[in-house]
Formats: sequence, C-alpha cells, structure tokens
Amino acid sequence: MNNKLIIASIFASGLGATSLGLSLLAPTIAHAQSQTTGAVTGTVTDSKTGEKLAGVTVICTSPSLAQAQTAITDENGQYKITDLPPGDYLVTFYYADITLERGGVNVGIGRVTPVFQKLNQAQAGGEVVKITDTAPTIDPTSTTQGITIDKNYIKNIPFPGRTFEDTLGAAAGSQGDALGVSFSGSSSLENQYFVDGVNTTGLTFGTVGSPVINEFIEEIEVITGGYNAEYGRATGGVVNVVTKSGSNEFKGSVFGTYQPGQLTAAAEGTPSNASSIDATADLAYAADFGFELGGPIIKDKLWFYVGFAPQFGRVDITRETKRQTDCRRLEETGNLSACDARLPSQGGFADGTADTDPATGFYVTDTLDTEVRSSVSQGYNMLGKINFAATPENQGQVTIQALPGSRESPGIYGPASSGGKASSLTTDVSAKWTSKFNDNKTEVEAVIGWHRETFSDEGLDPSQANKPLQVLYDGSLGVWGPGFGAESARTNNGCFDGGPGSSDPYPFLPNNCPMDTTPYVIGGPGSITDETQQRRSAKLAITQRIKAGGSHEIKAGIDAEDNTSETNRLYSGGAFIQNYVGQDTVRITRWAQLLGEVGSPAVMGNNDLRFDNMCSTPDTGDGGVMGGNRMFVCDWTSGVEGSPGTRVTGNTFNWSAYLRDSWQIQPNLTLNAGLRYEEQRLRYANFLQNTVDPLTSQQLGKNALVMDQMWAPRVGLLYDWTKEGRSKVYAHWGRFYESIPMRINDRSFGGEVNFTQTFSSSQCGMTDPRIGNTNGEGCLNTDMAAGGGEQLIGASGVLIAPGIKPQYLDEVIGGFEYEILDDMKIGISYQNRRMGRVIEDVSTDGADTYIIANPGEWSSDEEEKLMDRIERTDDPIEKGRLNRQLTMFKGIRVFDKPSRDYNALQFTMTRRFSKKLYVQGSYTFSKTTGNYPGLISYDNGQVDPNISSQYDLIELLSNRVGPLPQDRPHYIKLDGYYTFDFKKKGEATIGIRLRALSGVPTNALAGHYLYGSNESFLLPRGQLGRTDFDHGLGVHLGYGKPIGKNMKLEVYLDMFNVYNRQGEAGIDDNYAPQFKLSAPNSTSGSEQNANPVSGGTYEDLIWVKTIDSRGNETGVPIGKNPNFRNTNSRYAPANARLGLRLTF
Amino acid sequence: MKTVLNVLCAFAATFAVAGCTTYESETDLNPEGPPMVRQVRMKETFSNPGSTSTSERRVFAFGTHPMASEAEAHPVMSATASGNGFRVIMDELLVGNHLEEIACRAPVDTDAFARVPLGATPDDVARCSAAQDILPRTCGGENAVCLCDNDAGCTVGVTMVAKGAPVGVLDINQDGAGDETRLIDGAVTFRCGALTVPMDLDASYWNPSGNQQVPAMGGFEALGPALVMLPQRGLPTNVTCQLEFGADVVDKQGLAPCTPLGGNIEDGCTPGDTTGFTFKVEPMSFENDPPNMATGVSKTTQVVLLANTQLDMTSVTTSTVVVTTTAPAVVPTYTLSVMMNRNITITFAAPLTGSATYTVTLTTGVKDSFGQPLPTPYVITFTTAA
Repeated sequence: MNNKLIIASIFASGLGATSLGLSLLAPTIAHAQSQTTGAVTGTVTDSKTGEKLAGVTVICTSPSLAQAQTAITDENGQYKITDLPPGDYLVTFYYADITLERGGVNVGIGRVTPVFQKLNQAQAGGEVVKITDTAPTIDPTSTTQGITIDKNYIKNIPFPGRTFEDTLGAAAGSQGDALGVSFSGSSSLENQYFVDGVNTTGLTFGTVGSPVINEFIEEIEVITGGYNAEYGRATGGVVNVVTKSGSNEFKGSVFGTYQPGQLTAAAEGTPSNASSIDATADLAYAADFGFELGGPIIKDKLWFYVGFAPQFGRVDITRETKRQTDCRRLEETGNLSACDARLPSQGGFADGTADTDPATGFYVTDTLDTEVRSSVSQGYNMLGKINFAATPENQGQVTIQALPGSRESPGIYGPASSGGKASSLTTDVSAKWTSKFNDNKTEVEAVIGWHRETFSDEGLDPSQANKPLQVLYDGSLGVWGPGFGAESARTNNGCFDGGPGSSDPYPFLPNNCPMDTTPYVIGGPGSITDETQQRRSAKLAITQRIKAGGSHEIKAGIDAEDNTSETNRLYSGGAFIQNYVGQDTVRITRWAQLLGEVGSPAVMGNNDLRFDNMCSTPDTGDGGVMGGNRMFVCDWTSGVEGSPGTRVTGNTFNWSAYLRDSWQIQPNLTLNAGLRYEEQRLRYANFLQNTVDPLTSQQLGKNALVMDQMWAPRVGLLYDWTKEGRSKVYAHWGRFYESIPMRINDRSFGGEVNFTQTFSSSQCGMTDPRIGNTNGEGCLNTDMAAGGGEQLIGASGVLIAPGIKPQYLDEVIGGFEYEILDDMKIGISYQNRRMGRVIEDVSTDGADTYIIANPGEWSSDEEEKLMDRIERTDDPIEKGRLNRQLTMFKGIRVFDKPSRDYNALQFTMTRRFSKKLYVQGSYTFSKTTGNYPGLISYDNGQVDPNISSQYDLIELLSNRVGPLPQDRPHYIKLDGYYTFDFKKKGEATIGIRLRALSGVPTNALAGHYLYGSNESFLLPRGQLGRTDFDHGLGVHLGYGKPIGKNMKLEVYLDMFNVYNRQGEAGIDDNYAPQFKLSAPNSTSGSEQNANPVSGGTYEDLIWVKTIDSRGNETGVPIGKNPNFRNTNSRYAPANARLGLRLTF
Repeated sequence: MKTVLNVLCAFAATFAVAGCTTYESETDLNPEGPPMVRQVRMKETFSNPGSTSTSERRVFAFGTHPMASEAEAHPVMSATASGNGFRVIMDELLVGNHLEEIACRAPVDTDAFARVPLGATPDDVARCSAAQDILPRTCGGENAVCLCDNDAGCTVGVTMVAKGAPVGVLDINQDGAGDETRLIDGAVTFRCGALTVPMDLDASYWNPSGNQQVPAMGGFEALGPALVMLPQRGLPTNVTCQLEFGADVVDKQGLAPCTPLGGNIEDGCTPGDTTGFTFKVEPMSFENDPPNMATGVSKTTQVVLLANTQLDMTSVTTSTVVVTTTAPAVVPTYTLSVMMNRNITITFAAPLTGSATYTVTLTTGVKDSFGQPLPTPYVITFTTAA
C-alpha cells in the first residue's frame, strides 16, 4: 500500500480608485496562512529617513488570485495580506501619488513571504516604479522545517513516479521506506497528508490516501518539524498539497508520459540459493496521458478547474526455473571439475549431493526454462474544482477528485492462476469557505471534507474462488510442476527424478529441483479483501489580530473527524493451509469466533448452533509458565463473504482544538506559542458494542480505547537580525501526539481470534501424488490436531491497560537561515526528536492475552485501584479473574520502554529560480537509535500500527536496541535546473537530481515458533554493519517552444540512475530460515527457531540451538540461511521516461 | 561531527522531559565481572504431603527467579540419580569455543569433532562447510575450522588431507552451518566427592540464547544463556556434588565462571570458585515387585528390584542379593539378571514353598555404577500363597 512558478502579470494599471478606496484591513504583522494559502507581510519605510510610513496601500495581484487582495500599512508601517493561494505575485504600493510595483514575489503554502519596501517620497508623482529586486525567501515568522515544492520543481527535476508522494524525498531529513516517505527519523505511517486542506491520510495504516497526479498540483508543502499548534495527529511530517484552480484566463495543458521497457536497463538479479524458481521483475511500460483545464465561468466570481489522466502500466516478471547438479568435484586446483554424472566408481563425480560453487557457496544449477508473466495495472485520475468569490473577503471552493484503479497480478511461485486481481476507488470531496471581517482583523475559515477509500480483491481463477490457499514448503518442483500443470514440459522433464538409466541426468541426486527457500502456492486467493474506509471531517478556524505589547495574531480552531471502516475477515475456503511437505506437517489457520471456555456460563446456556467446533490452546497460566490446555467452544469462521463473523466494522472519532498566538514583539522578533488539545475515541466493532464479552464476562461499551488529555504545547522564538526578512535565528520546542490508524480497530477491537492446528500429514488422508505427500485440504475437517498442536492467538481477547496514555514525541529545533546572496539562502539546523511514550500491544502470558499498553509502564495508581477492587470482591471467580489481570498488567513493566531518538544536523542551501537557475541542496548528518522504529516493523515487514509484534513476547525483546532501520547517518541531496533561453526558438531545460546516502543497518534474524520468520534479533540491532553507501543521478532534458499565442509545446526526457548503479538497497537479514535446508537423501528440512543471544556477537551464532515447531529447545545447532547477507533488493536500474506537454 | 551531534543531543535533553535515553533492558545479561551461575534447574525427589510415596519435580536447586514459588526454589538434598538433566543458567555469555566442538567431514584426530578457533565466525564455518565432494577453496586462513590433526594425515572420502590442512565442516544439508556440535569433554561436569561425572557429550550443549525473561513456551526451562548437562549414566548416589568447569571455560573477558552465594549475582564471586553451589544426590533405593510385606505371592514368582540409578553389575551377586526364609521352607537356587543396568530380577530354579515368608536382602555390597554403595541393607519380605 503503499504512494511552480507562475510568471507574474502586472495588473497594477488595472486597479483604479475603487480599489484604493476600499476600507481594508489595518494590518499587523504575524503569520496568517492556512494549509492551502500563504501570506505577504512587511514594513514600508521612507528610503531616506527610515521613517515608517502609515497609510500606504498595498495590493497583491496574481493569476492565482481570484480578486486582488489589499492592505493598508499601520502606524508602524506594517502590513499583511493573508489567504493568498500559492504562486507569484505582483505587490503594488500606493502612497500619495507614488506607485511602486514589485513583481516576482513568490508565495507558498503555509509561508509568510516578507516584502519590506522603501519608498522615496521625493520621487516624481504619477510614475510607476518597477522594482526588480526579489523578495526574501526566508519566512522570519515560522520555525517550520521543510520544503515547498512548486510546479516548476515538479516539471524540471527528474524524480521517479508520477504523484506528489514521489516528490517528497526532496525535503532534507526525509527518506523512502516501504510504504512511503518518512521524515525526521519517523516512519512514513506517522505523517498526515492534506489535499486542499482536507485530511486524506489513509485510514487503515496512515499511508498516502489520495495520490494526486502531479499535473493537477499547484504546490506541495512538506513540513518535517517545528510545526505550530494548527497541526497535529502526526509524529512524522505534514504534507499539504494544493491542487490547481481556475482563474480569469482559460489555461490548461494536454500531457502524456511514456516509460517504455526498452529504455530500462536490465535489472540485476538477486538470485535465491536453494530454490528452483528465480523471478526478476522488469518494467514493460508505464504511461499516462490526460488534460487539465481551468478558467472563468463568471469572471472575477466563479472559476472552474477540471483534469483527467488515465495511467497504465505493465511489469513483466521473468520466471526462470533451474535444477541442481551432481556431477562435479573440487579439483586440487581449487576449481570445480568438468561435469561427469557417473558414480565415482565409474570414474565420475556423482555422489548424491548437489554441487556447490566453492567461490560463492551457491548451488551449481542448470537453467531449464524461462517464462514471462505480466502484471498489469490502470488508474484514472479525475479532479474537478469550483472556486467562487462573493467578495474579495468572502471566498469559497469545492473540490471533487476520484481515482478508480485496478490491477491483475499472476502467481509467480506456482500456477499463474494463483495470482489475484484487485480494484480500488479513492474519492475526495471538500468544501472550503473563507471570510474576513472587522476590517480584515478577523478571519474565519471553515472546511468540510469526505475522504473514502475502497479496495477489493479476488483470485484470478474463478474456479478456485472457494478453495483455500495452500502454500507448499520444502518439496520438489519435480513433483509440484507436473502435479499442478503450471510448469513447462522443459521444466518438468528437467526436474524429473529417476534412477540410473532414466532420463534424469543426475540420477543419484534425490531431488533435482528442491524448493527449500521459496514456497509454492496453489489453490484459492487466500485472504479476501473487500473494504471501505471513510473519513468525514470538518474544521473551523478563527484568526484575530490585535495589538498589545506588539502585534498578536491569535488563531483558534477546532476540528473533528469521524472515521469508519468496514473490512472482511475471511480466507477463501475458510482456511489458509501451510503444507510442510518434507516434514509431514500441515498447519491450518483460520479465523474463529469463541463462544466461551468449556464449562463457562456462556457455553452452558448456548443454543447457537453455529458454535459447533472446539478450539484448544496451551494454558500458559499466569506469567507464561506452561500448563495444560484450555478448551473453547468456537465457530470456525466461514469462507463465504457476509457470513457471521466475516464483516468487521470500525469507528474512530477524533477531535481537537487549539489556540496559538504569534506575537511579534518587535518587527524582527517573534514569539510563537500554542497549545493544542486532541482526543481520539476508538470504538469496538458494531457487533461487539453493548455485548457481554464471553471471555471476561464484562459488558463492552462503545469505546474500546479513549485517548484524551493529549495536550500538545508548542513554542518558538525567532529573531531576524537583518530586520528585512533576510535572516532568522530560531528555536522551537513542541510535543506531538500520534493519531492511531484504524488497523487497530479491525484487529484488536473487532474480536479477532486466530486458530491454528498443526497436523501430522497422516491425519490428513492419503498421499496426493501432485504434492508428494498429503494434500492439506484433507485436514480441513479434522477436529483435533494430534499432540497438542493447536493454538489460539488472542483467545483471551484484548485488554486495555488501565491508565494507558497516548503516544507522543517531543521535538527540539534550533538553527538559523540567512540569505547570503539575492535569491540564495543557507541554513543550519539541529533537530532532536525523542519518543516519549508508545502504544503497543504486549502479551505477558505467551500470546494468550494481548494487552494494549504503554510497554514498560503501568501506573502504580492503577495497580492500587485494581488491588482495592480485588480486596472488595467476594465472588471467588471474579477475584481470580482480577488477580490474573493484575499479574498480567504488572508484567507490562518488565517490557522494555520503547525508544527512538533522532538527532540531526542539517545544512541546507536554496537558490530560488532566478536568472534561469534553481538549486536546492541539503546534507543531513543524523542518528536514529532506539528499539522502536515506528508504526512499521521494517525488520519483518509487518504493518500493524500500534499492535505490531515488536513488543508482544518478552523473549523477543532482546537485542532490539541499536541503530534503527531508518538510520542513515549521511544523506546528501542536490536538485537543480537551468533554463537556456533560445528566444524564438524556444528554451531548453536541464535538471538534475543527485542523491548520496548511507546504507541501512543490518541484522541477524531468526524465526519464532508462534510468530514466524524474522521475529528474533539473534544479535543486537545493527551489529553487523550496514548496507553499502549508495548514490544515483537523475537528469531531465526538456525543450519547449511557443507554437502560438499563449501556447507552448514541450518535450522532455527524464533519465533516472543514469550511470546504472543498481546499488544494494537491502540484504537478506534472515540468518536462520524458519525451515532448515533439506538433508540430501530426503526432502525433509525441519522447522527451526531461535531466541535472541542477548548482547551476543557474530561468533556466538555458531553455538545457537534450535527451538522446534512447538517452542521446545533442542540441542540441534541452528542452520544458516545460504542467502544470509546476500543482496535481496537493488535500486532500480537506469531507466527513462519520455514526456510531452502542450500548455495553453 | 559525531561529537557535535552528541553535544547537541545533551543540549536537547535539557529541554526534553526524559533527557537522553539510556537503553537498559530487562533482557540484558550481566557482562561485567566474572561469569556467574545464576540458577541451576534440576530434578529432585520429594515426599508427597500426607503420604509415604515420593514424586519427582524440577526445581531451582540454585538461585531463584522472581516468578518462582518457594516450593520451586531451594537447595536440593535428594537430586534424582538418574534421568536428571541439568540446566545451568549463566548471567552472561561464555565463549562457546571452549564448551563445544563442531562435527567435521572426517576424523581429524581420534574422532570427527574439532574445536573451533577463537575468533571464528559463522562465515568461517561456512567457508569450510561441505557435504561430501566439494571443500570450498575459501576454507583456510587463521580461522579455518576442522584442521587435520593426525601426523599421518586424514582421509576424507577418497582424498588424503595433510596434517594442518582443513578437512571441512560437516554440512550435509549445505546450509553453510555445521550440522552437529557436542560438548567438549571436561568443559563442564559435576564433581561428586572424588568422582567426576561423565557427561553425555552429544546430548549436552551450550546455548547462548535466552535471558532471565520467561518465554511463552518452556517456562523456567528456557531461561538462558544456559549449559544443558545430561550425565552419561546418572549421578553417583548419596554424595554431595558441585559444578566443575574446565580450565579454559571463560567469558569474553577471559574470566572463569563462579557461583555466587545463592545465585545472587549482586554478591559476586571469585572467578573459578564454584563452591557456592552444591547438592546432595539421593541415596540408592529400590522399588520392588512383589511389594514389601505382600502376601499370597505366587510360588513361581520372580522378584524384581528396580534401582533408582545404574548399578555396578559386578556388585550384584548372590552374595549381595540374598534370599532367605525360615525352615521348613526352602530357598531354591536362584539366578540374578540385571536389565538396563538398573533392573535386578531374581529367578528361582524351583517353585517357592507355599505359605512361607521369604526375605530378600540387598547388602551394602551393592554399588552404583560409580561404586557408591547402598548405604544400608535393603530388605523386603513377602509371603507365598498356600
């Protein structure tokens, strides 16, 4: 799940006395801007005497602006014009009969552009003086860290991808992760995304919810820190996207891009050892085309903007099958012999063991066949917007955007039909109104929005729709290939295992085509998704400017969000099957609903025939000490959508209020202080609300978790020593609370219980010759797994730790910016972000009960309360239950307190576009350390914000402290472009995007018998160094030529990774695969898990012992992954995109 | 630059509530000082309350755990003599190279196990790992594993490897890790009186995983890091034992293990001093069929005596296992057989006299496999049927 510069026109002459005669605001200096607009501010003085001039009329005009906005300087010569859409402005000063125009004043979202102006009162009247000087680029009233990305940046800098998310990496301190772009040491799911002022953050996980295509975008503001009280619900960054709007002129473009596979270098493979299928993905094409158009409906009153852009893409996955060989030996020279598949007694080198390359340790293989399977996708970007201005003080906007899309992906490690297809639709509707009153001293802004996401998927093959997904491990492609008819004859013949005299070229090798490190997938689609999330939001902000000991701009606001989700919880065929063919083991996983424990009142009075199954689980007793089994009466949830227990609804209600004052003590000294209050109410699934929990006998209310008392103070101080907006030295402190994504509603507050049964193959029927052992489907109707191989995860439900507190971080920023040259500023800043508290689920009884808590903390007050309650209870059953809870809650304190410290020094340099050149660069030196990476578990790939496995089990907590996955000490970014003006022959632009960055820390991971692969940090985090330092260069070449009045045709070529450095993006951290490689004379490889070696070093791993599939320690040394520390992902190869744009 | 960042971090800490984070974990070990035995888990025999019968249970014989009850943690005066596996839980990591050795592809000296050089990593093992015919040429250098130690060289399949050259680590499944390890003889054992208890080297092992937190599965038996010790033929009976480490068993600082009093690592201990932990093994005892004082016993019965430990078979003779009766009843000649080194069966050559009382006496001449005698004669009587 993952992801402008307007040439100013001078309208001064068009402004008549009427405009000048308007009663306009009495300006005071402060920053007043919203999430979609900016402001211009400054002081007007006499150029000779320095006297501050009151009564100067200041007027901002721009094609971006519906109607001119005006202000009059106060007795201190100060003025401010707010609510300006991003773009380039002409600022005109009228004083007596002097008219002075200053063009090229750039206004960005959320920024205040200082325009300090000196007037020469001796100047001759009637003359229009045009100032060529540009306004400073430093906002001296704001401590925010980040970057503004305008249309020209988007157009001229070569960045991969086509949506705004792809541009965000330009900000210093940002980096990409698996689900987006992360900022300032956070994970990408901690960001908030706003489009036209409306929160469009993905509801389930916190990803980008509405990926707007770049052609529809006017400007993007990326805030990476230091934000004031208007912003909240984010511990990462805040991204404001403002889409284009119509104006009094008809403007638009027709555009298209095409990224053909032919312009993509071959991707270097990352072959997997001990597997007989390798897959390499290559882009076949990615293309989009479309148009966007804006203009007046009623001039000066009503404007429209529309855009439409379909996108198409195809990725070809080349699937190579291969077999191992057994015909070589090591010669005395150290090289492999020639291949001779006869027995040694016959003079050959066949010994029944696969040959390995002595240099690489990889198996020697013969390529059998290649096949290309293609994944296709399409999406349709649509945007419509109406802007209207009743008066210059009263303006509104309505925006509708939609993005329907679909995708089809074939199965790769199995029949193509085991793949799936998916469709999605993202819709946003928003309306905004802004009014100014009281001589513009008072401003009101109201925004309402509706964000909706739907996603559904199904299997490619309708005939398999009702069958369970079955994953086959540890067997032979020579059996599965012919068995399921998904492999070519060449592959099947090449994998044939026969004896001497047969067609098997390696007759003494028992398994020519092992599938030891990759599974084979057959059957139905597995998890069936059909989900809808919606956010209905509204916010209101009032700004008041007053004078008292300087100038104050006081802003107060309130907002509310009602978030809902509906999602499925079912497996096709009612179960998910893992068939460990070589180990005679089948594991069935299903969703279950529990009626209650055998013997409990809920069960005794049961007359619901649906609950006709038994689910047992080990009784871990208090404190995880092993006991017997607990038996529950349960229902195995059906694989039919809509049947009981398959639909989960979630609801979270958020609201916040804030008050902040931007107090300009002196024109060049500003104190920003704000206080924000947030609440988040996460509710139980509808079907659980107001019911009695059969497990705890407790009445469930509406709210599962209420996060209140989220007081977030912010304070910032700025000083401009140049007194004209060309510098600032600043400091900021703030607290930021997390907004918990709705995934937790689905999983923790939706009654989720997972039931696994582990069978011996013999319990599941006869051998299926297609599989080479039992077909796991044979186990589906077997009630009880032998040998206690049953486990309920979440059997005792989810508890909320009493007194749980919200997740937050604190931030300190200090730095300065200075405009060393016209148009060029430099900055140095230090940023510290420290996680104060985290919400995660923990289990103090071995995955039986999950407690949503603050790991490492449980209040002693709450303990006393609970003890008091126990004391007052006479009912022995209740007393026992509460005592058990007390033990569990006290156990929370044993868990490590999550930590994440981000310390960064940032050096930035920005040369705004002027004299045909734009440059922006940054160097960030940072450390991100701790044991909590954030809302993404990068190490095992889990995405379950606030309920990840990171703190679930005490035995897996060890060794998690160290450099976090987002720790890249050095990150250099350089973007720029230069335009060559050939006059009538057009203009050419060359742009570059350079990135150089440290690698990421690497680890040694192993599996856990309950939780699966990569859950156990065998060694302290990051102890094994990091991946390679890497770098890459992108180049943009563009040529544009006017082809008529106000019409221009542009062609361009964006080249990425031009020197085709396919650097190491990731390595295989899995030291011990959960399934050990096979022994040579059988296909069996046993399950192996291992617990962390606390504080260990690499040498210790030689001696680590295996934990078996039931969680029992054995004396068997743990096997090593033959792919450990091999590159498993690379940066994309050199590729290029062609583009065409006709603007008018 | 790092210094600058650290200074700034400290600066930031003055603004932040929590200050610079210190990373301490309940899962941390205690690498300071000598390696200390924190707990020892073992099996004891105990009397069932209100009954003369006994049962066995695993307890903390040394040290304890916050989650353990009083009944689960106490000095052991009756450690079971057989079938008693020990888990010796350390407070820090020991150097595994001195505790275990790795299986090689072929005999390197007297057998096919070799010590792993200090400093060797899994990569060094992987470089020398081989199934059968291919020994990677990368195997060599300072940390080469499984070097031939025979003057006459070592035979690997059809290849002769010279002394000092690598023969390769046994890696049948070719995963780059050794397939087997075993405890080094003498690395850790129990000294019981003057006796050294031989360990089952294949079944005993060192596992550096784990810490003081009790995992979801395994309970206290999964605390670590731990030495798992399984005596080859049980423990000598009726004697006090203590842990004994080999001279080269050390932690990563080179310090020898010791046993702090009561397992309290706060108290510390002197490197190499393991006197802080002793336990007493139960005396030799027997269960028998027919039961003592049984009546109506078949005249053709055999008498079976099951020892709680392995016996010295040479000590089981008709002189030490004596059957007597009172005239006019007679004791037929009888033979003794010992099954599984523990199970003495007395077989009479002729039927016993009816309605007679027989006495079977095991004298103190019966000894366990370590030569420890039965402390007092063991006597049972039974009466035959008419």
